[in-house]
Formats: sequence, structure tokens, C-alpha cells
Amino acid sequence: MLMELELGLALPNQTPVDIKRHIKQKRESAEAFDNGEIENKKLCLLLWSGQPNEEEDDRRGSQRTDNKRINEEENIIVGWPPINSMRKELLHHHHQQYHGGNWIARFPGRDNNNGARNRMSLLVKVKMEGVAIGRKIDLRLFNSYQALKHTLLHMFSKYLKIDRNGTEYTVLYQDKEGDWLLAGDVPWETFMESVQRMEILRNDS
Amino acid sequence: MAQSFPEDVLEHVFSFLNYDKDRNAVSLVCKSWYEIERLCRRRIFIGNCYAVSPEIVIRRFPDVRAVELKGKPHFADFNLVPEGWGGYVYPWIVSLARAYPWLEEIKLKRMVVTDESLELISKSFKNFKVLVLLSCEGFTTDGLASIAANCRNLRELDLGESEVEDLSGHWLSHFPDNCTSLVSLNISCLGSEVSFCALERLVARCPNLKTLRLNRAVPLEKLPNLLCRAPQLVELGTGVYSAEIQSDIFSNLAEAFLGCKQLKGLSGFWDVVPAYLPAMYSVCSRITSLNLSYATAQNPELVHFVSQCSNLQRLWVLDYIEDAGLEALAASCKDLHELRVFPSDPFDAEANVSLTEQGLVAVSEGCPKLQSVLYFCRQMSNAALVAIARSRPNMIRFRLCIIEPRAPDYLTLEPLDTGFGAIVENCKELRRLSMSGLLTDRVFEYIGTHAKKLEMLSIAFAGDSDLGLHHVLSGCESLRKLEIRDCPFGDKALLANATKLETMRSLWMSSCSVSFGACKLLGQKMPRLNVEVINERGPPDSGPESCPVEKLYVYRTIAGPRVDMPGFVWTMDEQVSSSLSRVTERRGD
Repeated sequence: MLMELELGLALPNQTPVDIKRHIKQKRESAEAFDNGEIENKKLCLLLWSGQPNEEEDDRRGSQRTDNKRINEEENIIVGWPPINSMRKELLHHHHQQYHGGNWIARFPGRDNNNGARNRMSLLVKVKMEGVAIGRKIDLRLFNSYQALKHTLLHMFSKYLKIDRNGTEYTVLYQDKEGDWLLAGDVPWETFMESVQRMEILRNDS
Repeated sequence: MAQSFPEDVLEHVFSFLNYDKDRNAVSLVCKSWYEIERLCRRRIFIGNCYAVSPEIVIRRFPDVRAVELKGKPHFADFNLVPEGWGGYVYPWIVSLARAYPWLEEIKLKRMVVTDESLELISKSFKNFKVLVLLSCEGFTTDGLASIAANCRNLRELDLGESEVEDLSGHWLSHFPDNCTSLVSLNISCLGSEVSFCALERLVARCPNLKTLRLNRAVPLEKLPNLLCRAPQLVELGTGVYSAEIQSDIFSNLAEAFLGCKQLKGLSGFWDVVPAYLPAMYSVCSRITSLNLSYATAQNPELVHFVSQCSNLQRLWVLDYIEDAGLEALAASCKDLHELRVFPSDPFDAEANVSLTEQGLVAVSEGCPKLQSVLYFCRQMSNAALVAIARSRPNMIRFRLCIIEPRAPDYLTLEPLDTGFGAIVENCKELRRLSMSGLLTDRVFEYIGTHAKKLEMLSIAFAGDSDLGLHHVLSGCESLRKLEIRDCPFGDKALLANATKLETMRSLWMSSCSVSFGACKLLGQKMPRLNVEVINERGPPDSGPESCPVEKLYVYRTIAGPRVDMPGFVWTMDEQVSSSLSRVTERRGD
């Protein structure tokens, strides 16, 4: 019943774009399927060259590939989470209307007057090098660089082993002019007025 | 033996068979049963409009009254299928109009429907009764005006969640004054205001109206006007559920609801103002279906309202319900069959609500009839999944979306293989599964081993190697639809299981590692499959054969390759190399 697929193709050493994060050594085809599951196959399946994936040693490489699939502007993966356009529109509409007020109301210690002040919330996007999904953070919750950095590293700690002291990481921000600057150089208030987005880089990169 | 029964006796017997499966089985018994059956089949369901051509259908079934067609792959709902891909219904309508003048019902899902198609429908079928357009697009309210004006015996007009170009609400006024046949009207997807007077008069003159789903533009203050004229309603979708807090609005509403003794289903609730929820308390105990998934109400008003509905069977709600609300639900709604919890803030990785795996565990443990779940959350554990699986071996549909791709068990940081493994092992009747979180090849081994009744599987950001895909394709005997995105599955498993694909409706793979070479091979070797490569960045042969394709859609067909493909879709068949070079000859739309 099975088709005879005689394939003499072997993958070249240059492996195709790989999006795996957890990369294992690829096995020879015989070993991979060698438990009798495949019967009567007159197939010479694609033979892996047996060479380790070039990107195996470079985790960041595969994750940068992930980033290609992410809309640079939005830090959103296309079609994820899987909700349809009607629902997305509805939620967008809702968040636009209740954006500032609701957000503040959920944090302990802030009273609702903050929402009534009608100020634009200081939600900025933060990307961490090597992590596919960005974060948003409300800078009004902080009053110092130290608190901010500490919280940021805590937020991203589940992805990479992070030294909580944060000594291995550099926090950058993009100002109104589009320039990328080191966070901490200017007074906090000045920073708050000009920050547009942020990025965390590993010091060994 | 078959000849001893007169044809009309057999035909009468067959008339009791409503399921396609039964009718298909009957046609395989012998030639004369095939003949008798095909002459008396009145309803046809075509799960993939490209699997067969209108001509083939008409040739086999000469006297059809109801047609159901589906077009785009499911992942089109999440913008993974590019604009212009296909699924055009017009050629079908042209053929159906010629062949079936007595056609009564057309149901379409994920198809492109033009105003031209709607006009043709409205003028071709004298006894047309039912038009259902779910997640369709391509038409405007002008097309709806044709339907309203020309379909004298229209019973059902359901626009589902279609994208309609809303030119004006005036179309509703095209229903003639002598139209009294409406049983079901769903216009909830429309943006602009319909003429309320026309709506009111329409509702008043249709005594059999059972389902009325309004759009957001219908104000809350006017809802009582409609309810009073249609106290026989069984399903109601409100318009916007917000108004200034005024006692007369409230009392009018409450009184109107009091008169609706048949009401079983509620939906709508845009911009809900919680103070108005109690106006519905008189109907709550009869409600079996509640869709609050557009209602941005929060606890305690939300859970208080839901808990009133002790006979609830189906609940769709936003995650504002939180774990606490789900625990209350588990305690008060013992008849619950289906639960869907949608995310209120899906693009923020940080939780804005206190909804975790605990809520789902509580409902699974507390509601013995729970069989269908769609749940968005931000954390999950193997322990929770195992608990759910053990509590609910009767689960039929289980769709879990952990918002963060590849999120591990938050307690142990391990993959969620064990948890999903428990689901497929315990829930032996499972027909549909969507997975998320950190998953290795092992979960696919469990699925291939245990999920023997599984018909539809959705996979994203999962697996380690082709072995994963191989387990699924070789083990899942009942598999009909497989959709995969962003998984490291490549050529080997696909080619090794090529014949399996002929037993399925379709396979979708996007952002995986399937090479162009493998697609070509598959297309060339399997003539009864359409192997379509979707590459928006350029022709697949512009790089080496080992280059992965962006998206792949494979489906079985007896109609041959499509002729309506846009420029970014290539079909892999025997002529694949020459067809690629003849790009300019491609017929597009």
C-alpha cells in the first residue's frame, strides 16, 4: 500500500533555516525509525549528513531567526495568540478606551485618581536580546534606574539564566530623536520624558 | 438481495439517514444502492471546496436542496493565509444555479463571497430559505439587500463573524412587507446602524422568529421594543449593553425580559455596564447558552450573573472571570458541557487578571459533563493537566492556549509532555486537540499511541524533530485535519507518510522546515493530492531545493490542481518545473 519513494537526496552541509530552540544531534534515518514502525518501506529516506546543525552552538542565531518572524514594530508573532480579527478589534477598542485607568487601578497602592488625571501611561516596550517576546512596562511605577533594572531582569529571568545582580547586562533606551542611549546617564525625570522603548543587551555580546 | 426491494422502499428507508457518513456507507453496498442513494440525497457537505468540482457533485447528485461548503484553511482565522489565497464561491453558485433551481440552503465557511454571488443566489433559487455565512468576506451590505429583497421565503440569514463592507444600514429595509417567514437573523458582525424602524417592523411581522442576534449599533434603550414584539425568542444577541443609568431604562428592560419565557441563549453584551445585568435575572435560570466573550465586565458582577444560570450548558467568557469565578461556576453550573475562556489582554505577556490553570482544574473537577474546552491562560503545569485528564475522561474537544510560546510547566520548568500525554491517554473519545507550551517529540509519541479517535490536531512552536510529526501521521488513525506552525518538522516524516495524507482532508504547515524539493516530490508522486506552496517572498525555485517553503497546504482532491491560484501559490504536480517558468500564464483572480 505504501508508495515507493526512492529518494537519493542527502541534505547538504548547509542546513536550512532552523527555528528550533532545543536543538539535538540529528540521527541517521535508520536509527531514528528503527523500531519496526515502518514496515515494507522500500524507501531510502532523506539521509541526514550526520553533521551537527551549524546553529547548535549559536543559540542566539536560532532565536534571531525567531525574531524575523516577529513584527519589528509590534513585538508580536503573526497569528499568535490564536484569536480572530473580530476579537482583536474588540479588545483593541476596549483597551484604547480604558487604557490608562484600568491599568493603574490594578496595582496596589495606587488610588484611582491617577487614572482620572488623564495622563498618557508610560508603557514602553522592552526587548531583551535573545528573547523572542518583548514586554511592556509602565515606567510610572518606578522612580529610579535601579528599581527599573531589577524589575526588568526579573521579568526576563525565566528565559535565560540571569545573574540577578544585573552586572552582566546593559540597559539601553531609545529617545525621542531615535538615538539609542545608555540608561542611567541622565537624571531619571529626563529619562522619563524622552524614553520611547528599551532594550537589554548581554555584556558579553 | 438488493433487487428484491423496490426502489421507492429503499428510497424511503434512506430518507431517514441524515448523516453523510451513513449515506456514504450505504452507497458502497452495491451499484443499485449507490444509484438510489445518489438520486435521493438532498444535503451535501463539502469540507474543502477544492477537493471536488461543482460538475462532479452535480453529476452524482442531481437533486440537492442544501449545500454546505468550506473554503480557506482554519489558520486563516489568525491571518496566516495571505489575502487573495482563494475560496471563491462564485463559480459554485453559477453551477448550482444551473443545476438546482430548487436549492433551499447554502452554508459557507471561510469563503470569499461577492455581492455578485449574493445577487445570483437571490435570483436563482425560487424557494431559497437559508443563508449562513460564517467567517466569510468579500461582500457588502448591497449584496444583503438583494437577498432581503428577492428571497421571498427566507427563513434564516446568519452572517456569523463575516467581514462585511458596511455601506449603510438601509439594506434591512429591503425585506418586503409581506416577508413573514424569518426564523433566524444574525447581523452581529455589522458595524453600522440598521434602520431601527425597519428592524422593529420586521421582527413584529415574523411570528416564527426564534433567533435574533443584533449588532452593536442597536442601543440598549431600544431593546425592550424588540423583545416585546418577539417574546417567543429562544436566542437573543443584544446590541451594546450600555446606557446611562436610568431607572426607567432598567425597568423597561427587566419587564421585557420577564416576557421572554422561551429564552435559552444570550450573547452580545458589548460595552456591558454591570448595573444592567440584573435586568436579565428573570431569564437566567432557563439559560443554557451564554456568550459573554465580548463583555468586558469584571467580578463580582460577572460571576454573580453567571452563577444565576444554574442550567448553563455552554459558557463563553473573557478571562475577567478569573479563577475565583470559575470556581463559583464549577459549584453552581453542574450541567456545563462547554467552556471557552478568551484573553482580555492577549498581547501582554504579563497577566492582567488572576486567571491560571486553577480555574480550569476547578471546572473540570466540578462539572461532570464538561466535554469541550477552549482556554487561554498564562501558566500551566503537568499536574493540572493530569488532574483535568483524570477528572474528565469524557473530554471531546480540548484546546489550550498558553499565551507565551514554548512556556514550560511553571512549577517544574519541564515540558508539558506528560500533561498532554495524560489528556490523550485518559480521554479516549478526544476528537479535537490544540496544544501549546513547551513540548518535545515525546508528546507526539503519546498522541500517536493513544489518540485514536483524534480528528483534528493543532500544533504550534512544538517538537524537536521529524519524529514528532511521524508519530502523529503514523499513529492517529482518525486524523482528518492537521495544522502546524513554527515546528521543526521537515521532509522525512512528510514523505514517509505520504499515503496517510490521502486519508485526511488537509495538512497545513507554516514556518516549518519542509523543503521545496520535498514538496515537489510529494506533488509528483501523489496525483490525488494538491500540494500547494505559499511563498510570499518569491517563487520557491529562486533558491536551492533544500530551502524551506514558507507555507504548505496539502489536501486530497478529485478535481485536480486549482485554476484560481494567486501569484504567491504554486501547485506541485508533474508539470511543476514548467509551470513555474510559465508564471505569466498563470490565471489569477
